[in-house]
Amino acid sequence: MDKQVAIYVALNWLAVFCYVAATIANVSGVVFRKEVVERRSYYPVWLGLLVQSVAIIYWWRIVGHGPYMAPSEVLSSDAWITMVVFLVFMRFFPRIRLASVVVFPVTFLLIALAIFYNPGIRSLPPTFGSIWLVLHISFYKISLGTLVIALAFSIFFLLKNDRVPSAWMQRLPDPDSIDLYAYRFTGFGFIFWAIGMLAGSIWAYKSWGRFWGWDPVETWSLITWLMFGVYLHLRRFFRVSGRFAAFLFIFCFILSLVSLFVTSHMGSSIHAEYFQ
Amino acid sequence: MNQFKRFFLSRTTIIFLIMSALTAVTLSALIPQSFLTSSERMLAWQTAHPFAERLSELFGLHRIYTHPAFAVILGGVTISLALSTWNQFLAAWRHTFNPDRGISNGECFSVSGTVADSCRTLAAKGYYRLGGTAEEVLLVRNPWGYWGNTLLHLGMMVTIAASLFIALTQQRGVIHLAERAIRHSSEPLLMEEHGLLAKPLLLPQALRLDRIAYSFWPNHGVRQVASTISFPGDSGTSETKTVEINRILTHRGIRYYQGVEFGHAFFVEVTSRTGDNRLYQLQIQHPETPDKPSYNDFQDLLGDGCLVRSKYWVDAERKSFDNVNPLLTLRLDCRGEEVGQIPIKVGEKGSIGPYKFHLRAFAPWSRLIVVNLSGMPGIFLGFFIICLGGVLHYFTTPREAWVCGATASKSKICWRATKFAGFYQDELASLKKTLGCVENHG
Repeated sequence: MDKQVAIYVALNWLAVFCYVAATIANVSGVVFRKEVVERRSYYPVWLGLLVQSVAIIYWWRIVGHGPYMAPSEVLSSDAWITMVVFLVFMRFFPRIRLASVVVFPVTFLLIALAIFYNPGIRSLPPTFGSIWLVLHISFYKISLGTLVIALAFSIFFLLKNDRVPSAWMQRLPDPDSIDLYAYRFTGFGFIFWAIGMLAGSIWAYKSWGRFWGWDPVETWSLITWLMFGVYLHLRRFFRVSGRFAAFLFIFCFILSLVSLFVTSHMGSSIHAEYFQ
Repeated sequence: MNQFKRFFLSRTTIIFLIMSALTAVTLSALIPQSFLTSSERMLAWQTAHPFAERLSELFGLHRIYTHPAFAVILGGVTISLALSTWNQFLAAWRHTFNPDRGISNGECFSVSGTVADSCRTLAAKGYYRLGGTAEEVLLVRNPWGYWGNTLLHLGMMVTIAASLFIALTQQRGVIHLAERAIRHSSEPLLMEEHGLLAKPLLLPQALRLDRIAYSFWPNHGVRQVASTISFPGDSGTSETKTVEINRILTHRGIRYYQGVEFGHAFFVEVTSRTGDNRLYQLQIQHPETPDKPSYNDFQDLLGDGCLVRSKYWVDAERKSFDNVNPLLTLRLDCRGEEVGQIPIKVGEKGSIGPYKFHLRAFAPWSRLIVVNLSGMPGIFLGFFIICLGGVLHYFTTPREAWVCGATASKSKICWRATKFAGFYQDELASLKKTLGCVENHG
């Protein structure tokens, strides 16, 4: 067992090194306008993704369930999905490429944080053996990935509207476009969050006959979703944009982190099995 | 009617309604709700927060979801959603089947070739002809994207309506049954809940719990729990079925779910000082590990105001769950003081104070959740419509191209993305290149 844990932790560390190398290359490439360096920063990302995939599959085989129980599994898979979501969206929307200066560090921070938790084996409670649970968790993770991209653009907007914006900021699209990207990726996050919440209620109904139980995780997830709904409606109907929208998004993003990682510690419920 | 519609569709009303719903849900997360919190915990919270307790009492904040104000918010949201869905349906219908002539806020440019040539090129790029004449044609890529918002709001409306219907008509409860015990249909359910328009749930027939099977992971976590139930019929025959976690049993319209709670029930005969004999069934949850006991308290079990406290190990030697040889410890507390305690195994006897205890037998017990509700297909349909609407709205933005003849050999194209225009500048540039743009008109 110790040997298996050692292999898993070593693979995660290797992935961290890859992502750190990618972050350094990427940020320096963007800031110092070295396009070749920035382009090559994706080599260690692909390597890191490969190593992390091996680590996740290896641990999956050992514990006998997907990466959604122990904190180390949850954070590591969140990091993996955030990176994959970014790479997939970049394929369709090449203009989001510069969001890498936020996405890469977030990824390595998540996986580095995962390593600090004990990766002990957590057995799967019987109610967790449902495909709806897998969908429920997967869509929340995808939502987190899209929200990280929206976070990047909200931060960019605030930086670009600084009195003295840095020279590398010139490479970013104009503030209106940045604002629009933040808006749209929040929309993606809102939809994925909704699908995650809905899949969760189907899982609950299939497992214990109640599709909504008002436990802290469910309630805070609904609050977060409504808050993103307020953000989207304010933008659409009241033409709210710019700094206020960026700060409002950052508030919503923090709320989403609380919902995902803190509320499972708030009370006893089925969600209390997760991330403990 | 118009004023009514204008009020419910005004952006201020919509934001106010969403903010009100958000405030209500946030308050419910911060203030313990009486339907979710035990009376002991509620009392403890009230003692710890006297000011908040006064406010909660004044405004009914401890029962937000049954408060008339919440019903008003929910009603307002539903009306607003319904009107908004209808308006958006009309707009989507007009865009799809009766589109406007020309495009406002678009970018116009000239390309070489006739209108028919440009239409052919656009069709090859995934644009569909939605209207126009031989000289002026409207082509749209992803025309189904017009329906995204309609479906998104329709889905929410269907989900809210179905949830409301379920909340009003559902019946549910819980049965704790030991192996080989029979539960008659007239007995009330534990933790019984029913909607405002429903009566308490009565099972259509008696049931007998024939067998409980459970298994554990190597680290003692519960792997599976299953109950075999038989339903005795009128003709003397009985129907036997199995329910397990994530495998629901439906029998005569009632859905049975296997709960994760299970353990051992101890049949204890108690003899009082006067010589009265009575058999009690003490159900205790299964311990988490073989070396640790599991506990349960029974207030006023013996009718003397005292508390009977119990704990048990599955294996008296505390080594394994496989060896079921339970050791039960009973303790009697009267007026806050311990009177005494005894450890007993099956067949053994002991005394605490004036009572003699005899552990006659034990058997596994488990929780069955019993549910009778309709309306879930409405929830699932609502979910499906929301997902479909969300995907259409955010992933398939319609891009409109209005093509008209400029000269005999040139045509003019006006193009726009109906939403998130900044996202599609690359597509516009690529389109111009493919069409052979010769001149921009701004």
